[in-house]
Parts: sequence; C-alpha cells; structure tokens
Amino acid sequence: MQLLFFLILAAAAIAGALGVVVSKKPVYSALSLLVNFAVAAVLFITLQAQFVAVVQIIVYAGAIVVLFLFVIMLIGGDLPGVAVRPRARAVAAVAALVAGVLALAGLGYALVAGSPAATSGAVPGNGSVQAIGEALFTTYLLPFELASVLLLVAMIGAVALARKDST
Amino acid sequence: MDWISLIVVPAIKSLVLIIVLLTSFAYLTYYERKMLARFHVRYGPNRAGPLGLLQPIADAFKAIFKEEIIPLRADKLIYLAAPVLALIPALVAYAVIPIGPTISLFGQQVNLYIADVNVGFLYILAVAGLGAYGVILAGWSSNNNYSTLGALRTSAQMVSYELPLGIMLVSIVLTTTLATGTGSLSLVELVQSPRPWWVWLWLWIGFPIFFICMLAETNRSPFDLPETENELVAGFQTEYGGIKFALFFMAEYINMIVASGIMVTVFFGGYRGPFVDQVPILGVLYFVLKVILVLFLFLWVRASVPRVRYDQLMAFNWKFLLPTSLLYLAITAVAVALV
Amino acid sequence: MTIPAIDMLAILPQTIVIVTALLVLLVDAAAGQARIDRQVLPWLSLLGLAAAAAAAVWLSLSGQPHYFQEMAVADGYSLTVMLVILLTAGLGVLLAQATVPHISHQAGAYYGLLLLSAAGMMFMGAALDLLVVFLALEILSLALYVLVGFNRAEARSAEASLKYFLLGAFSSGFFLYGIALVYGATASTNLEAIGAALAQGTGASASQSLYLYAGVAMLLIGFGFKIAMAPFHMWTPDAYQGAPTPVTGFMSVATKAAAFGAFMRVFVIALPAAQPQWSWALAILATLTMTLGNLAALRQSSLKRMLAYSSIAHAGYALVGLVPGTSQGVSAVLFYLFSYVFMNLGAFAVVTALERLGENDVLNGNFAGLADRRPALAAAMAIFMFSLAGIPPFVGFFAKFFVFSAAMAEGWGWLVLVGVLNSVLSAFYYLSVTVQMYFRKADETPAVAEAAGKSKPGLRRAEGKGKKGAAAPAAAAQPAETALALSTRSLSVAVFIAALGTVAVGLWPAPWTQWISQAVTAVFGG
Repeated sequence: MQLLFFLILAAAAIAGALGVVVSKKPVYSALSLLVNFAVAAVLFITLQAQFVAVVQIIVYAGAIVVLFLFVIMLIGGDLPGVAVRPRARAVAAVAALVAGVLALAGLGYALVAGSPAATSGAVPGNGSVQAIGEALFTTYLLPFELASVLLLVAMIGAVALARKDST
Repeated sequence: MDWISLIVVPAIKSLVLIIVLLTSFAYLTYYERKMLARFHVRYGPNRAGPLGLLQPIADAFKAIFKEEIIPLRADKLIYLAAPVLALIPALVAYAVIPIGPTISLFGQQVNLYIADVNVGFLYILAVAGLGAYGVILAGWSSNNNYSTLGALRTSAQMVSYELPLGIMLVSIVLTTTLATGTGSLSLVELVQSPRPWWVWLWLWIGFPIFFICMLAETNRSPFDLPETENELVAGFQTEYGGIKFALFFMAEYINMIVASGIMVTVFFGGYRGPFVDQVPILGVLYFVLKVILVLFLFLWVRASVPRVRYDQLMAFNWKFLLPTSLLYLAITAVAVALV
Repeated sequence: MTIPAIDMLAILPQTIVIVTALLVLLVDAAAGQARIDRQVLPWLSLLGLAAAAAAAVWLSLSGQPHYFQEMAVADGYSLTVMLVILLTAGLGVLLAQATVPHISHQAGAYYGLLLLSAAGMMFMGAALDLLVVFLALEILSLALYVLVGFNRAEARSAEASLKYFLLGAFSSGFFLYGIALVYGATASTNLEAIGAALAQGTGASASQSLYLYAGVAMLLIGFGFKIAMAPFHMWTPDAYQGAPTPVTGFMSVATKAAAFGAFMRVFVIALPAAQPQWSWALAILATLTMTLGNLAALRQSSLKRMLAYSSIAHAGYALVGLVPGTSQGVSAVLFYLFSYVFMNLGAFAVVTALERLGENDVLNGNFAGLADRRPALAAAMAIFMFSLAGIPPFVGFFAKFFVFSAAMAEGWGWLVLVGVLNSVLSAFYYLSVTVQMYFRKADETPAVAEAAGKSKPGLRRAEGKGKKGAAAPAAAAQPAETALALSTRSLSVAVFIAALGTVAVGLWPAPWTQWISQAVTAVFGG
C-alpha cells in the first residue's frame, strides 16, 4: 500500500520533471515544474514532514513558479528565437542522457547497497514545526543567519542592477 | 471502522461542505446585490420569485445555457483549465476551518471540520498562494493583451500582499503561546484555546491590516485591479463567457467566504459564543452569523471606497502595510516574551 | 529548547565587516538628504576593514581558537585567510575609489556589496561545515555577479555578469549536489565528523565509496570553478575583461584566497581518506590549468584578458601545493595567496591607472613608452610583472619555490617539472609588457593612435574637446593625458603598497612564512 502510493507519486514527479524538459512552450514547462513541486510536497507529507511540505507549496508553488510565469509573460510567452544548431542540440542531448544514466545508475546502486545516511537521522517528528524551528535556532544558527546575509546581498544586488541611474 | 473514519466520513463532510459553499456562493451574490442596492437607494433584484430570491438560480441557468466561445489562437487546454484552477483552491481552503464544536450525529462524535492539520495556518497561506494560478493562466491563455495585463497585475498583487498577511498570521500564532505555553499552528486549537481579554483587544487592533490584505488577496474592490473595466475591459476574464465566467465568479465569491471564515476563526473566536458548551449546534449558527457580518464588511467597502491606482496599491503594500505588520509582529513578540 | 552558548568572538571579524557594509548602505541612503559627500563611503569601508583586520590579529595573538558551535572557527589558519582577504578588500576599495564615481551613481551599493562579499569569503576560510561553506560561497558569488555587471553603461560588463552568473549558478548546483552525496556517504556535513566517519573505515563498503567519490568530484568542480581551474575556467577571461577593473582585481585575488581557504580545509581535514584519488586528480588538473592558462595568455592583446589567463595559470601553480595534501603544502599555498595579493592587485591597479576615462580595458600597445611618461608607474608594473613571472628576489619567486618544494617533498617530481617549464613559458608574456614599457617609444605603435581614435560614444566627456580640433598630431599624446585623469592619490597609494609588499616580502620572507606555517601546523598538524 505504502509502496504503491510512493510509486504513483514518484511516477507523477518524474512525469512533471520530464514535462519541464520536453515541453515546447515555456508556460507548459513552468506548469510541469509546478506539478513536480506539488508532488514533492506530498512526498514530504508521507515522510511526516508537514512543515517542509507546506513551505514547499508556499515558496516554490506559491511564489517562485508565479514569478517564472510572470517573466515568461513579460517576455512574450513563446520560445525566443534561439537558433540552436541541430548538431549541437544532438550532442547536448546525448551528453545529458549519458550523464543522467550514469548518475541514476550510481545512485541506484548506492541505494540498493545502502547508505549510512539512509539509516541514521530521520525519525518521524523531525519534520515538525517545533523540531525545525529548534534546529534552526540552535544547531544551525550560523547557517540560518548566513542565509539572511545572502538574501540581503541578493536584495542589494537586485536594486543596484535595476535602479535607474538618475540621481 | 478505521477506513470509515479515515475515508468515508471526510468524504461525506467534504461533499456537504462543497454543496453548502456553492449554495452560499449563489446567495452571496444575491446578498451583495441587495446590499449594494440599499447603499444606492435602489431595490435590487425583486422579480424572480418572492423578494427576488430565485434570482441566483435564474443566473445560473443563464450562464449554463450560454454559447461556448473559445477565442481563436487561445491555448485551449490552459484556457479551459484556468477557471477550474481558480475554483479548486477556494474550495479546498475550507478544510481546516472549524465550523462548529464536536457534535454527536447518528450516535457518532463528528468534528465539524474536515482536517485538523497541525500546520493549518501555513496550509491557508499555501492555498492562498495557489489561488493566483487560475487568474494568471486565464490571462495568459486568452491571447489578449487586456487579459495578460490583468493577469500580470494579479500575480504581482497577490504575491505582494501575501507578505503582510503571513506576518500577521505569525503574530497571531505567537499569541496562542500565551494560553498553552507551546503555541500551535492549528486553527482548531486556536479556536479552543482561551485567551485573556487584552489579547483579544490587541488582535482587533491588528484586524484592519489583516482585512486589507484579505481584500487584496480576494481581488475585491478597492483592490480589484485585475478586472478594472475602465482600463482593462474586464482584465483576465475578458475572454471568458458562459459557465467558464461563472466559475471565475464562483471562485471570487467563495474566496470571500473563505476569507471571512478565516477572519472569524482568527479574530472573532470562530464558533464560540454563549451556551455553545450546552448546545453544540449553536456554534454553527454563531459561525454563520459572524461570517455574514464579516461579508457585510466586504460589501460595505465595495460600496463606499473608490478603486485605487495600481502604483498606489503597490506602494501602499510595501511602504505601509508591510512595515506596519512587521511592527505589529515585533510588539507582539516582545509582549509574549515578557508575559 | 535551550539556547546554546555562543562564542561570538569566533565570528568577530566577519561581523565587523557585515556591520560596516550595513553602515555604508545606511550612510549612502541618508547621504542625499543629510548632504554627506559620498566620498566618505570608501573611507568608512576602509575603516571597517581595518577594524576587522585588527580583530583578526588580536584573535590570533590570543592563541586560543574560538569555535562558533561546530560551524565556524577563528583559528590561526582561518584568521590568516581572513587577513589575506581583508588586505585584498582594502586594496580593492582604494582601486575602486578612483573608478566608481565614473561608472555608477550607486557608490553605496558598490562598497556594500564589496564588503559583504568579503564577509562571505572570510566565512569560507572559517567554515567547519559544508553548509557554511556553501552559504558563504553563495554570498560571495552573488555579490560578485552584481559587481561584475556594475558598469551599466558598458554592454561587455553586462555580458560578463550574465556569463559569470549562469556558469556560477551551474557550478553551485554541482557543489550542493556534492555536499548531498558526501552527506550520503558519511551522514554528516561537519568536516571533522566526515573525516572521523571515513577514518573509522565504515567507509569500506562499495556504495559508500561510490557516493564519496562522486561527491568529492562534485565538490572539486564547485571549488574549481571559483578558483578558475581548467577545465572550469571558461568564464574567467570574459568575466575578468568585462568587469570594472577594480572588481577584476579584487575578485581575481580574494575569490581565489577564499575558495582555496575552504578547499584546503575540506580536502585535508574531511577527506584524507580519499587522498590518493584526489591527489592524482588535482595533479592532472593543475597541469592542465597551468598549461592552458599560459598558452592562452601568450596570445592576448588586451592586458586584462592576459591577466585573466595568467590568473588561471596561477591557480594551477597554487594547486600544485595542495596536491601532496601535507601541512607544508597548505602553508605554501597560503603564502602563495598572500604574495599573489600584492603582485596581482598591483598589476590591476596599474591597469586601472592607465585606463582612459570611461574605457574599461588597456591594450598591450598602450604600455609602449610608459617608462618615459610615467617612470614610477612603469617601475611598479615592471616589479609586478617580474614577480608574477617568478623572478627573484621578488615575492612571486618564493611563492612558487615553496609550492614546488612542498610537492617535491612528497615525490611529485614530474608535476614540479611541468610547473617550472610553465613558469618559463609565462616569462615571455610578462616580460614583453616590460619590454614595451621600457624599450618602445609611444609613437612607434599604431595601436595607440587607433585606440585613441575609437572612443566610446557615451563617454565623450574627456575626449570631446581635443578630438576635432587637433586631430592627427594630438592623437599620440592623448592617451597619456586622459590616463592621468583617472589616477588619483588613493590609486597611487594602492600601487605603492602593492609594490612595497612585492619587494619587501620577497626580500624578507622569513617572518611571514613562519607566521603562516605556525598557523597551519596548529590546525592541520605536523
């Protein structure tokens, strides 16, 4: 039952991911991405990490993909006239395929053989709001604060690049 | 037994809720038209049935039997999916709002909510965020500049106003720690936890900010920029007619009901009121009454406040609402830490 | 929930820099209304950097390492890296002071981003956890992406920024994936815990080593991108050439120092278990990097582009020191980075001084006859070029010498041979600059006249006057005049400091090497 549920979700996630890559229209790519994010959120719920699941929806589905769509709409909504040479395209496709298969094979093999990280750490309840909040403000205090510096940098940079140079 | 309580009961509850919501949508339009008429010193609908009470049903028939028109060169799939995508989040959001206390029905204890999600607040934010998709996609897929502009405005507006909304929700969650000591993100526990009178007072001070955000999130006037008829024809729904237009209409009004439900739950004690402990079913009545009162606020604002300009809308959010809500959060946090 | 005890001293220098950045931004925001001259911003930045440096020196003199939980540390090694970065940032501010007013009205954002990226770099040197490394990497990268594109009047600056950003984001993805895989192999992101887990031999299983090697390879790509290691160097020439020259100078040195700072700690502390493998990988990559960089540098006509390729080559030399994975090698690399501050930033300072107003590049020909026009500048440039080529008694020679001898000590003879041959190769293009300055007359080279003729449309301010009236005769003399417009006292100070460092540290390397190897052995062991 659990496995079946997981398989259905995993198939949906992969379908979404494939959709991002193969869609001809950027809007469809963005929507496929949305599907992928939503399924990932459901997967998080099955791991009892409700907080991460909901944040996934709020941040990725609710804000980031909306901004993607925003940009796509502003620049026209159709594929821009990128003249990719067919040969370069084929080479890129083959390279991506090889890399993807390699990564998949390696990860699959490692998963079958087991990994220390898979057997340690994650316990139900680790994903609760309290647990995450506590981890953020104790163990991961420094990364948490650094992330705020990072966001500050991004903000200053965006303003610096976008502001009219008129003063 | 297990699967009954896990699947059948929630399914029945969801079905009932959806039917109730759809009906109340129909009569919300009636309510709105009657109220606006009052404000304008008119009569409002009064021909279909006694007092015009059959008017919503007549409207529904009209919408259903209209000709289906799909614009040339529209993106058909998305064009058709958009109204549905707009409606679903509106319906789904109600799942975590408790409508009444636990009552016994057919010998079973029934909770009058569908799910007591322990991240209820965040769930509401998430669903509110998804609501933008219907509008954006509708605007994009119609292949019409007015629609696209309307959709762009909506996405910017909704993403922006979610920020103060979220910050206000955080402040409210903070106040729950006063009662239980740990705090909770569940709306059910929020309603059940007792709080001293000064917390209520403080909450009501914050209510206007929250209400303004909700006006913007539901695209109601004075923030109905996505569909300003004097500049954008009808915004994102320009190209929609018949039942598809009705679905957008439905989404907007159900969103209003949801917003009112949230505000009642958060600021006005949900279903609580005198004698609820003795007669649980009274709770539902209180809840509905409170929702109707808050809905009246929506209508009142629409009748009295002119629409703002787009840059005013954005400036108001970033330069006033956001700082104010941050200040509110800071004060709340300090107070909670001190008490 | 218990609030953990926190030793704020561990991140004191970084905190000072971040606070200074915020102050700079606030002053900038208030400057319009309070009628503050924006010229105070660089001085404020310098003050903050000096304070941070003082804090770092004080911390390292107090001897005891300070730990911020298990995330960051202020020990001798990290403080040395920080001092190198602070020195670079200080010189970068001096360089920028002359240029920024000409390219942008947003001085506050410029200095703020410069300081924040410096703070990110300092955190890279101090990081004990891969998460911190990643966040610090992102802080410095994001700030640099913007700084590279800061010259909005110039299309090449925007192009450089976009290229750097796209490839940088790509490499960050690799780095993050590498962290995930290493976590998969060891169930930790903490460097010492990773090292312990691998040393215990729980890593014997095949799956674990597969995870581990894949992860290490990804980390290598991430770091390699930042230090401009071949074959991940593609962005370097374009980004360095397009960026405003003070930014190029700053990023070419400081990014390397920061990335090497984290690179060495991660590989030597956390991953000694995989050392045989990564040593070989690094040796091959170092060979590739040195050779590619030098061969490409030979053919450049733009000086900034030449210096970009030269900095790729220098990343290769520094990598040689990391190959053996010994503490001797680590201190050699650290000394290399320290000396690289002076010689490379010095070279970029001279380039900044020679840029004609509003232009963002200097061609090789512009150097012709510089010794006649500006003897001091030419002498300084000659010092930097000799030092970069690795000619004694300048500091570059000792830097290379230490790095090579560290590799030699562990039996990497062929690598050292490659390095030495490359040094010889590099001498060609470094010395050709010197030859241009001293043995050519300015009017001998047609490139100058040509370059003077095609001034950019939007930037006629400086050249508009003399352009039409005195056409042919003035053309040759013009570059010298307009170049003067950009030279200011702060720039001269920067050149002077760099030249002094190049000579003085070269003549008396002992105290510096002693300090560094003390700091390194305290952290990395014998």
